Amino acid sequence: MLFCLEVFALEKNCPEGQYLVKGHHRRGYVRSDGMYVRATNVVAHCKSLTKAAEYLQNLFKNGVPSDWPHKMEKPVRWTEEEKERLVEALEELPEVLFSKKLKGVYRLQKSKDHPNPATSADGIIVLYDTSFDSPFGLGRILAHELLHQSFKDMPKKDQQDYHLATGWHLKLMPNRMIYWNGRQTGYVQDDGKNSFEEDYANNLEYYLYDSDKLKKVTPSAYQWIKRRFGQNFQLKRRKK
Amino acid sequence: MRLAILVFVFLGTACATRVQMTNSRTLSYARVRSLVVGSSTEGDVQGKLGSPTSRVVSQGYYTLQYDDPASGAQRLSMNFSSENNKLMDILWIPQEDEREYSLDGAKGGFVGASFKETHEDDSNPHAHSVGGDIFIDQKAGVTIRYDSIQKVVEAIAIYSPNERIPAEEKPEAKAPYAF
Repeated sequence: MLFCLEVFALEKNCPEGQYLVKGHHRRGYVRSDGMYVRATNVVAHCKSLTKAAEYLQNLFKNGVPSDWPHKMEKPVRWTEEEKERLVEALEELPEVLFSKKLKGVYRLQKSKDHPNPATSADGIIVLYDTSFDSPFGLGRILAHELLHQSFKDMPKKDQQDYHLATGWHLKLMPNRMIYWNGRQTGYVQDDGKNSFEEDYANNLEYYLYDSDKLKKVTPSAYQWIKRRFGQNFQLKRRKK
Repeated sequence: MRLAILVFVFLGTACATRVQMTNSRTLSYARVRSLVVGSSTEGDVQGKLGSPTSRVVSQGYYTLQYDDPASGAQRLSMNFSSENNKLMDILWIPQEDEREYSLDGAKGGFVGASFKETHEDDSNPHAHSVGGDIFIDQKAGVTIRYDSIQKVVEAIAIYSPNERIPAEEKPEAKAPYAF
C-alpha cells in the first residue's frame, strides 16, 4: 500500500520532460555495446524523457494483436524491467526508424518458430522472451523489425528504386502467380533471398551493425543506403 | 554520281529497316494490349514497341525485356516459344500516372473476367504479410499482383490459359529465416 502511494506520488511529481520508472528488479544483461549491466533493485525514480522513451510511451501493448495469425502464441505482460531495456535499446538507433505508422509493440511468450525472437507485421512488432537474452542484442533485433516497417512506409517510387539498385525483378511463374525474384548472389543473410523486404531489413541492419560485411557482400545495397539515408544514418554512441 | 547513288541507296535501306527505338511513348499499355498472346511474333512486338533492353534465350523459350528508358526500371517482360516463335505471355509493370496502377483500373481492362483473390505464400516467421495480394482469373488468362499496403498494382500478367508457362530451370528452396 505504501509502495503504491509512493509510486503515485512520484508519477504526480515527475517534472515536465521526465517520466516515472517504477521500482523493479533488473536482471543482469549484456548491452549491445558489449558492456555487462549488473543485476540490481531499481528504486522508483523520474527519468529524462528521451525521444526514444517518448516514442515508446504509448506503444507498449499487452495482449495479442488483433487478427494475429499465430493463434497458439500466448501473451505475457510487459514488465518495468523489459520496458526500460527496450527504451535503452531504441536510444541507440537513428530516429528515422521511429515510424509514425507503428501502432504497438506487443509482448508474447514464445514464437511458433521458437527461438525466433521477434515478428513484425504492418504497424505491429511482437517481441518474445528470447529477444531479451538473444546473443544478437535487443537493439539489433528491434532495429531489424523497425526496418521492416521502414520498408512498408517508403513511397512506392523509393521501393522501386531499391528493387532496381539491388537486383529485384518481377516474374510470372508456372503456377500463374507473379513473384519477386532476387539477384542470384550477394546476400548478407540467406533469408534475404526469400523476399525483398527481408533483404532490405537485413541490409540496413548490417549497415548499422556490420557495415564492412555489407560493403563486401552487397556493395550495391551499401551505396543505395548511403545515398538515401545520408551520413547520419548510424548507431548513436553511448555516453561513457 | 555513282557514289551519291550508293549513299542514297544505303540510307534508304537503313531507314526502311530501322528498328524503332523504345521511348516512354512507344512503351504504353495500350500498345502492349494490342499484342495477341499465342499469335504475335517478336517482329510484331519490336514493330510496335521498338527494340528491347534485353533478349535472353532459355531452354524452350526466350524473353524480351523492356526497361523504362528514363529510370531503367523493369516495365515489360515477354516470353516467346522457341518452337513456334509466338508470344506466350506478357508481364506489364504499370507506373504511377497510368490508369492500371489502381486495382479498379487494372481489373477494368478485362471485361468479363472473374478474379479470385489469393495471397502470396508467406512463410516468414518474423515479418508476416509483405502485402502481396494476387487477383487471378486463369480462364481469362490474367493475373494481377497488388500491393495491399501501398494500394497499388505492381504487375499485370496476360497469358494463354491453355499454354504452359516455362518452368524455372532450377527451383530453389526457401532459406530458413535467421531472425
